[in-house]
Amino acid sequence: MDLALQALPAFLAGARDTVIYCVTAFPLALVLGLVLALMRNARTVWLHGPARIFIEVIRGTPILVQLYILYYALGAILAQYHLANMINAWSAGIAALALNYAAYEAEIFRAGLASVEQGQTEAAYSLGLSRAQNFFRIVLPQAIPLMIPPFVNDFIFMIKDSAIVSLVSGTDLTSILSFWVTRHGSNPLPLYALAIVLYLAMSLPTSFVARKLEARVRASLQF
Amino acid sequence: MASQLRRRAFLQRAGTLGGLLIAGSAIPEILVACGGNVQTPVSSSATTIASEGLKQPGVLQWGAAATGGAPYVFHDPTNPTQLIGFEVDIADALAKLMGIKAKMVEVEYPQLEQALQSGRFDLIMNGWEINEDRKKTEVFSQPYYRYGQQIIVRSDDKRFADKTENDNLSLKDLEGLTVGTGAGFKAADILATNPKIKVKTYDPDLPLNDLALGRLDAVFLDYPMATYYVLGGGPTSQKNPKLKPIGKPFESSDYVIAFLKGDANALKLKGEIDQAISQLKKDGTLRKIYERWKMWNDQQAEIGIQ
Repeated sequence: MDLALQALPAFLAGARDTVIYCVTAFPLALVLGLVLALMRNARTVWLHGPARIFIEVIRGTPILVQLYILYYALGAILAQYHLANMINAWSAGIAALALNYAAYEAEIFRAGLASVEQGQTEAAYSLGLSRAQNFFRIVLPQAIPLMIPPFVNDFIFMIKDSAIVSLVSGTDLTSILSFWVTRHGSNPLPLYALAIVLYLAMSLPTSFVARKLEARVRASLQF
Repeated sequence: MASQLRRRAFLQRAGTLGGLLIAGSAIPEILVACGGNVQTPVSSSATTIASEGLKQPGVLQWGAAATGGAPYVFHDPTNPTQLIGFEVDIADALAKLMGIKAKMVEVEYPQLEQALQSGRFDLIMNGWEINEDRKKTEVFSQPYYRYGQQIIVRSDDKRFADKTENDNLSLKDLEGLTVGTGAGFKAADILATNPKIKVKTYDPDLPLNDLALGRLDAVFLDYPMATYYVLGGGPTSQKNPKLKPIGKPFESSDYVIAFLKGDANALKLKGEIDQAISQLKKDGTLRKIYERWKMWNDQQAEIGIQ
């Protein structure tokens, strides 16, 4: 118990870093994912081709390798212009998480959008709505409640996945945990317990807010 | 990644356990089949040191982490199923003296202590140092290697152009710089004692790539790693022309073997291993191993290696 108290400030700092990585990377992933989903649904090959390649490549390769490429390969290129410091654990970590999750979110968007009946769009057009109006006012609002649970799933995954930043000198809750366990190997159980409590403290409110949000969106659409 | 490693380690262990069970159950049959021709391999005249403290007779099981573990124990880059490293050589030499086999049990570094407590192997040998926390649950062998911490910089860094490996440097020379090291390394603790040094820690990779790219001013780590990764010392190692060590290693410390405290068998094994280490120090085996890995230096005489 003493050890857990002693470790608390460091663990809280780690949890803060984890939160910062996720709350910056996830919205980026959502925006990029929506763009990718729209590109994939487009008719011209110049739009759906690249989107499809991006999704397949990112989804089919380990996030670890992507992070290494961003941090070291891109860093090596920038180092020639003495800009290597532009890519640090924060920027590389957030970029890797955002790019990786964008590929998954894109597929969730696509599934959500496809689940809205074609008849809705036909009705919207027959009422004289433009394509943009149809998308933002008819299709997207009906798709959102279906997409919230998988989005929350992914956000909670990201809270744990953000531990990869320790590979490039970043800190997060898992890296702080492993550092403390190394130093206090004789009795690490309080440290594991503390980490579990902090991870739950991040994921449970997320699920709670998401449930409320979903209920509200559904109610407003009167399903 | 961590969970994959753990799964792999679990599968490995499950596999070995299964294999041992099968082998174990087959032995009586083989003995019966061979009739009177079987000789027990133990207590032959070549064996000088007993090995009564082992969990499993005939196998010295030692715990270590092989991921990024060069030059201690790591997967041979040219043949990744093979484990090599100076600690593999030491474990084999110890086992040979006892007339038994050595077997490395892979565990992630932060979990080594837990694994020792739960009895997965006989001892820890993995660049292990004595500290206050470890004294609570472990007892230690005599040291088998003495080392210092090495400063590494970029070869083309003009600030260090006049510095050589023979200078006497200290933490003062790192003040005001951004210095990288491994998370949980002793070097990280040493650096943390000087608030004027900005420390960045890496896990499980070493910070040498970042030093080469200019994100760090210097790297501070155990001398054996500097030898392997920068100087090109030892099998499979390659010289890194972009980096150079400066100053003599300082903040000396010893690598020891750790056993479970309060366990009668472990205590017995500690006595036997100590005896074996003394012999390896005397008969030149340890020196040969360190020369092979380009880790030999004058410091080793201080702990009695001849």
